[in-house]
Amino acid sequence: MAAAVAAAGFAAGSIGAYRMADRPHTPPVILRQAIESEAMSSFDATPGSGGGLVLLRNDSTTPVEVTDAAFSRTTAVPPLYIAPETVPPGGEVNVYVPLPGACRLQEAFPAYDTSAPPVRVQVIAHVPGTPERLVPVEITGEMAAIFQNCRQQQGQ
Amino acid sequence: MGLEIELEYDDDHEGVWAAADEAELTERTGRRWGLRPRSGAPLLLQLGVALAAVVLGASSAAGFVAGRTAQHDRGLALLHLAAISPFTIDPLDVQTSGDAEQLLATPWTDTYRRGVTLTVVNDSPDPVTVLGATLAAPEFAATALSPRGVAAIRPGDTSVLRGSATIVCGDFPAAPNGSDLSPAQLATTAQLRVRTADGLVRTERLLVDRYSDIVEQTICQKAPSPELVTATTYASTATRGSYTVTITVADRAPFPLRVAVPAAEADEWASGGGLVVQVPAPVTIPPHGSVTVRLPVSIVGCMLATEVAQGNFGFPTLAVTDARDDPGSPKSRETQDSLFLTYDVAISRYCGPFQQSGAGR
Repeated sequence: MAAAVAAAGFAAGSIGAYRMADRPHTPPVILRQAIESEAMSSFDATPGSGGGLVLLRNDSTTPVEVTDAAFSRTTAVPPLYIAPETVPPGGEVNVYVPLPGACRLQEAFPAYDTSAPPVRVQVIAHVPGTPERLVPVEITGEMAAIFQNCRQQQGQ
Repeated sequence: MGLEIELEYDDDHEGVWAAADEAELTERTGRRWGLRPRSGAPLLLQLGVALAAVVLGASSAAGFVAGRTAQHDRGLALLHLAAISPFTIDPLDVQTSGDAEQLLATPWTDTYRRGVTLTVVNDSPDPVTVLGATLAAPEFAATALSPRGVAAIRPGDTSVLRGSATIVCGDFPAAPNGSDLSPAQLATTAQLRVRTADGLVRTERLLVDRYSDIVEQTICQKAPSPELVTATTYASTATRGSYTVTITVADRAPFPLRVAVPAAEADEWASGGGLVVQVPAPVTIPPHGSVTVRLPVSIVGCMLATEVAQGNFGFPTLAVTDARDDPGSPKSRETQDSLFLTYDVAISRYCGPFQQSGAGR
């Protein structure tokens, strides 16, 4: 009787622990800025109506759905711009990052300091089937300079 | 489980131990000393055995899964470009403007050897050791990169690799039969050699720059162009409102150059400058030679022409390509020269006096 109880207990413990431990873990969402040739941005005097497009790369091991995706075209004719977009591992997506406050383009071709320090933005993304989360992304280069410039304008 | 000791006093034998009763007595005490549980004790014993078995089974299974996961993780190599400045090239330090005579005396080249740096981040669950990398782009052949250190990099840490690339800012890659270039032909890629925690050496390919923009913007677009406009002269003609701009262009390269005025650029002068430029036929400059290009200009819009003249504006006018390539070839690298085609004397004479800024022409 004791042996039977021991065997049953061992089996139950093994099966239960195996099912719990072998459950697939939700992988981390890793988004990083990708190298791009031209940074696209728009400026407007109306607070909150300006923004920039930042090209991001999905460095996660699973597809990630990016809610802030912008200008993701379909193959329809005429093409449709949809968001959000599901990005495969290694894939890239443009996300729209709104600029804080009112940001005015002060001259036609401003010379931004491309060595400006990185700016951290928050992107709404998630692994499909899991809750959305804010994913921090470090932005550098011309886009960082634009964001810094707008912050300075906001402070003036 | 209970232990009970029962003592019996044998009254029948006047205190003397009776062997006849010993068998019965042994059986009765033996039953108790045999430790058989009483009626309530069996359930507790079973629960205890079950609990111990569950714990043992759970720990065994968990240990098995953990071990299998750890074994899998030791073989993973997940490296990506670092978040900040993952690929950099040492900038050029060459003279691109100045006295024409001095520039002509400086040997020209389209080949530059520059230091390149690649920074990767370890997204693997275990530490890995980056042994080296091979970097390639349309502008330079495969280049070996070496890491700064030989220690394993922990998850989340970065590894910096450094090398030197010989960058040639010549023709672009050619697609066969006029088809589109494949992404691989346009991109800068890296092949990493990584030793994972299990001791094995693995390779991982990274797409560094999809269109090799870093190389183009850092080096090729900042490199001195092979042509040099050495002289620009203006002369009025007998026709009122017209004049001629004569340009002398020199070739600093060891190969011939084709010089043309694209129709689109001429349209720009007409719509934005009020000047109609008569587009000449393309001309070829011999290696290390020079050529003179005559551009007849007619004033068609006084307001625009006056504004452009007073503002000293210039538009891209000349398009220069390698004469060894077919005209309009997509692989041909084109450089553009902005020219000042406004002749203040002719414009003010035709359109009326205006306030001059800077040196008059």
